[in-house]
Amino acid sequence: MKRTALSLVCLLVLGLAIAVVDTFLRPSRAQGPLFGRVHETYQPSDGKIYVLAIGNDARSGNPDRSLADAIHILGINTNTMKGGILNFPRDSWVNIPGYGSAKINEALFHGGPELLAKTLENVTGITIDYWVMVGFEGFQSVIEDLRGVEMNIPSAHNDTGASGSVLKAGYQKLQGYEALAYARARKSFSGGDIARTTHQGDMLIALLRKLRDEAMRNPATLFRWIATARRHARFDMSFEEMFRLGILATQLSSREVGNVTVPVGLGFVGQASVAHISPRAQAIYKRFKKKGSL
Amino acid sequence: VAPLSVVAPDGRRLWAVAGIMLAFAVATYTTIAFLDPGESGRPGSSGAPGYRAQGPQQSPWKISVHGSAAHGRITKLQKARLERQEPRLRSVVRRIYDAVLIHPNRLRETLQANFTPAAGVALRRADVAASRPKVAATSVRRATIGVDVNGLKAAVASVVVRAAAPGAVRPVVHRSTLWLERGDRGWRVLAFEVDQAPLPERRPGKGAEPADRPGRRSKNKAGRADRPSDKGDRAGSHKGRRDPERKSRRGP
Repeated sequence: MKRTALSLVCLLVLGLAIAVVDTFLRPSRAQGPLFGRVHETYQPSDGKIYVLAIGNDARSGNPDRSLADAIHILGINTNTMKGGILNFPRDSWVNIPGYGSAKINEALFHGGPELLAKTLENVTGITIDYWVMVGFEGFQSVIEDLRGVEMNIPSAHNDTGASGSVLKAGYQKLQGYEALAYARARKSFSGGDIARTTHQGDMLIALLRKLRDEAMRNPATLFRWIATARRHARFDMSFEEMFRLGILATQLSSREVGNVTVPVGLGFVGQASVAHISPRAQAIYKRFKKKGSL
Repeated sequence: VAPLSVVAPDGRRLWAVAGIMLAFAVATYTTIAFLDPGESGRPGSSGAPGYRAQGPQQSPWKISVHGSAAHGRITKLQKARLERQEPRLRSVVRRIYDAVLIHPNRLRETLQANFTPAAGVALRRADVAASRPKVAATSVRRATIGVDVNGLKAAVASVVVRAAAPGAVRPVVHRSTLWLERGDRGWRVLAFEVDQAPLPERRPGKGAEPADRPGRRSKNKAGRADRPSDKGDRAGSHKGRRDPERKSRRGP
């Protein structure tokens, strides 16, 4: 009797120990990308789907209060199978609902991805369906799990002081840390933040091309991509939705996806350097909303 | 003394019951084996149960099913679950292609049962049947099905069929990708992509490559133009189509 009780206690302690170790040592699922729906109910879109892709400035995980370093609206028109990526410089000066005029990256700090989506909806007039957010660590892990991303680097640069990106020009495969560094690099480019934003859009297109290439060789690759996202991510959308979006992505040719950065003029508000969105952007928003592509 | 002479003693009765059961089992097995041609490839064989042998020669189905896991190996539990879904997936693929290529009169009911409404409408519009209204003969029927083992709710089938309608000059090579999801009504096709074109003619002296071999890329110019490639893209193959009979469709 005594032995049985002792065995039970030992088992209980062992179980607890395993649970504690598992909880603290295993990387948290929230370290990677977070996915979510912007609106609770379905928004009729006439075959157009818009996803807000956010890169936050958190070095680890996805803390509640972080700034948005990368802001892109991805659009797909399921009728024409064309798409577009609309890039917003993080210093864009906009009106954040409830907070007044501020840099667009502050919307994430004040109200999370939902407020950033709402801000962009007000600015562009486009109804955004989903958002996906990732921090430094999560982005790097995803690229590593996908075994790198091949893309064309427009010019050689050495950004050792800031992002750590040191790359030669031309088509090459970037590993996780290199991809992260390149996505962050701005000081070595004449366009600064605007060039960086455009490079981030290029990287999204490179990932799309990689998915499509792999899916053409073996369509079941999509499940590996979804599982990779699930491994690192926290979802606020069903697997079915993820699967359908994934199928769409495999069908979308990277050549049919335009990469456009919102035209801005640089200026100052007080001491802060900001980017004023040009009135010419209205025509881009209108076209993106109408066609779902750029 | 037994009151009724027809009732055998207990031991004999047991043997009689066992004999009847055995005879019944043998009869049932024989009937099923006769009616269900399975994947044997007899004339008119659909590979799906319940179809009687009829029509031209059909090649046997070669269907492989594999699990797709992101990291590490597939666990025993996942494998066991996958094995349960295997016959269902095979059956869905066979049923769809039987309806598309061999039994066009069953297309409507098959689409209703095995496609989501939007995908069904898109397939009907795609007009991919090789033989309507006649029955085609198939010389290759091959499918590779990948299943997401993490949830067993999604699968993708890559299908290659070479079929010839009666009197056709050249057989048609039909390649497709079917995206399936599992819901309350079993596996259903959610989206598809079809590429169908007449088999290229063999060039004398140059051993023409069989165009229906999946994963094998022809290095000649024609092969490249035919195939989608995304340093470029799939849509490019449509633009560059040379054969007016070629059909490429996506749906829904």
